[in-house]
Amino acid sequence: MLKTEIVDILLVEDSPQDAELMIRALRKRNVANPLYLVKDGAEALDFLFCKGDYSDRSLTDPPRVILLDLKLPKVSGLEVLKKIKSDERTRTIPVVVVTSSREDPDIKAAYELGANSYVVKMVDFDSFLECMSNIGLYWVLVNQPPV
Amino acid sequence: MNLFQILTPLTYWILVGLWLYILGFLFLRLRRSNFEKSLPNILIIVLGIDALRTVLESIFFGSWFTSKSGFLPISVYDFLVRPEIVIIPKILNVITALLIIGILLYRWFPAEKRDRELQERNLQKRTRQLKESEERFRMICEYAPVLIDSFDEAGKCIVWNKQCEKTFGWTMDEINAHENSLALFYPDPTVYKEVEAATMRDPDGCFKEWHPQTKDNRTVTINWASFRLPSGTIISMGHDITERKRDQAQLVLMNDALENSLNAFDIVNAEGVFTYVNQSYITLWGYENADEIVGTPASAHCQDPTFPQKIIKELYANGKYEGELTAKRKDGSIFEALIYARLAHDSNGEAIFPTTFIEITSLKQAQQEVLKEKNRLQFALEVCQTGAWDLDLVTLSAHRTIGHDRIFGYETKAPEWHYKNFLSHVVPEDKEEVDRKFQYSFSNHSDWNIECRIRRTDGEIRWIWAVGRHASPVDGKVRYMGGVVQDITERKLNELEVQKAHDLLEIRVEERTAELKIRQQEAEDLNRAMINMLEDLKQTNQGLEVAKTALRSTNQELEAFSYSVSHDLRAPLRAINGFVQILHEDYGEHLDDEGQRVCKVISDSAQDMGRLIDDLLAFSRVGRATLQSQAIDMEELAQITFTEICSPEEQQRIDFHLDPLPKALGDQALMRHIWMNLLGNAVKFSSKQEKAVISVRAQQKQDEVIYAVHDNGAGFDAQYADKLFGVFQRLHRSDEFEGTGVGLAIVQRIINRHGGRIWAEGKPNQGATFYFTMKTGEDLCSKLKS
Repeated sequence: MLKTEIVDILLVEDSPQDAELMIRALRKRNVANPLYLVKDGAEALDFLFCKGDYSDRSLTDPPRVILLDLKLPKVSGLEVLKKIKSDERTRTIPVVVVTSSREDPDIKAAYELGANSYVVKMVDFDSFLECMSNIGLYWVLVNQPPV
Repeated sequence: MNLFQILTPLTYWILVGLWLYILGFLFLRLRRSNFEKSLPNILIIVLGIDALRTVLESIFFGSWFTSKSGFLPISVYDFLVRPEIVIIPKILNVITALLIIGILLYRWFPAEKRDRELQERNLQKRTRQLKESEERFRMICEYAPVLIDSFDEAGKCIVWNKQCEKTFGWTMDEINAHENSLALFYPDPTVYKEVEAATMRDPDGCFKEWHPQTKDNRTVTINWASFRLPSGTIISMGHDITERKRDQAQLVLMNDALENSLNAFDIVNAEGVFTYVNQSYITLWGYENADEIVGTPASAHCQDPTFPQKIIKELYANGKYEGELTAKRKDGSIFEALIYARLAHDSNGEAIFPTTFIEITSLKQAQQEVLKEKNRLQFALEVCQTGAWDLDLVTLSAHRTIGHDRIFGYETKAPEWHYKNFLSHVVPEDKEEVDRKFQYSFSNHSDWNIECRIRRTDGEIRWIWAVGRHASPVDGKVRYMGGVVQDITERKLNELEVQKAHDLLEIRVEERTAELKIRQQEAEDLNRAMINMLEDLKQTNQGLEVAKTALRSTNQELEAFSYSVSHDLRAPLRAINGFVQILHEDYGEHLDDEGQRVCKVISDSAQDMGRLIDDLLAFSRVGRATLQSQAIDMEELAQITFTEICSPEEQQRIDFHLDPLPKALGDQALMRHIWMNLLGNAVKFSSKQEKAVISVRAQQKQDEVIYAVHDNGAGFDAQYADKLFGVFQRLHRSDEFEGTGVGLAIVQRIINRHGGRIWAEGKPNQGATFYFTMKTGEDLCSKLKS
């Protein structure tokens, strides 16, 4: 996939296994929208704000949804969320926090920073599949993004 | 009878009438017209007619008579038979003759003489008329209610009517006795000249207000109209307007006084509408000007709008009204006023009500204040058992309150009280001193302040305290002295007691001081030891502080650890599980049964591991979470939890007994966890029974409650009972009953944190009973409250 193409779903996930499972789950439910995977927080910010490797991209075509893991190398998920939600240009992009952590402080912090959903990755594969595909269906196909 | 006989008498009488008529006509003409000129004509006519009459008489009467007596002249017979036909013509002849004689006589009478007589008669008549007129005018002049006078050119008074006499006091003769009468009225030469010039100057008259003097030296104001006749005579008419002027001035003064009066004043008409208000009224009621009020109803100015009508009713009945009014200003505020209203009538005779007001709000407040002050004072005097007195320094007699006399032992107020009465009560030992102080105060007008003993009427000796102060001098003299007297016996006795105690104390203090010195020495030694101890304690504290910090960091590390566990440990599990699933889905057909089974084993193990991690985290969280203690309805909680964890089929299968449970004090969420776990275990381990029985009971023991959950399930071997509550300790195999072995460990941890205990009883296949204790809710609650 080219870095300048229009991306509907931005997946921020450091674990390649989890990323693969999530993509598989989405595809299995026929969510075929363009998806781009970044592996750490810094890259996610570069992608969103069109810097570094992504300086060719335009800010006018933001992704329709961001699936964000909290435990990320370099820049943590919460920091990425904070940056997205405090910038005028990216504030309206829905962010779904997808993480293994059930710890209360993370959930609270994520919502306080303006996360649109908080989903826990389940160990049980079927549940995980169900959950991921529902997220894809809802945020990409059902939800109406701001004009 | 022929025609003549019929006509003759009639015609005759007609002729007689005609003749009389002509004579009358002539007579009238004689009076009116120029008689003398027409006299010959009249004479001819009279004679002519008389001749005609005579002819006719002879014709008619002759023929008529002929029928009886032929053509004989009128005879005695005729006269006897028909006297009228003889007499009437003769009478008529005589009248005619007289007429002719009269006319001739008149014709011959000399004309001059006749005129003179006539003139004289006329003159007499006119003189009489003139006199009458003059008298009339004189009377009018004399008695007219205006001043009328007249002076001839020589300055002599010729007319001076009654009104003049009445106004000025002088009679006409008195005026004329003076050489210059005008100077009588105007002694000031300047004014005199002015008057003289004014009356002389204008022939058409002078209309002016003058201020002449009267006989008794009063100055009056007269509105004079003077005319100068060509002869030089001056006629004046005047009107005395002195009183009117004075009344007007008075009226202006009164009006001014009313308008600027400090008292509010208004006039209300019979409809209760204002027709007049003065300045004070406008100010008092808070208006700007009278136009705002005049024409509006008075009811709007009273708190009670029916008040004006009540007063008007009262005024009609009694003519006046005095009372108090709660008035309402323009801005709606309220004030008290005294009101005095009268019934009066205006110039049209209509009833009007002039009313005066005095604002008394502050007066009333002051009255109330004084009353309050008086009551307060009275109360204070009574409470302090104090009597008050006023001494007249001239008579030395005193007014007192009843409290005053009671102090001296009188049940009721003594009829009279003098300074000597007071002195007679003072005990002899104190008398001299008291009197000396009083005399000193009396002569120097200084305050009097004594404490002395008195003998009451019942003989008892009491201590009193009396103070007095002189009133401010009036006209340089001090007339009164006022003061109070108080019975201070108790205080005095107490003072003596205190004095005694004080003396005693001083002795004691000396003894104790010596003792204290020894003790002090000991204390100092002790103190030194204490300081050493404190230093030790400080060091210990510092050590404790270090330990606390270490503990805090350990806790934080633990938290970070559990976070890491929950996040990182689960990720690989998810991968294992997910990829096994993918293997199964994508390559399932290449795997034989054993391969499929292995996949399932991997998947199940991964899921078990996931649950284990979750339970471990929960176990760790229980240890760290802060307790939110409250009274919990355990019975309700147990029931709800049971219903939640059981499917409808299970509820059918299980016979659930729930006894009434006492309340417990604890954390709601953690309590819920206990019930979830214990009831869950009971359901789980009794699931293989045909008819499962689970019962929950409780027993109150002093300040704790023992709750028990009993089931008739798989039970356990009592020798392993101590392993029940260990982490990851299981007494059943997973293929029998699934579980992680953490549940009861968590329960124990929760109960321990609440200060309770947990234990279990059971036998294999004979069910198990789990007991735990909690502090009683009610007991602790009431303790907390108290």
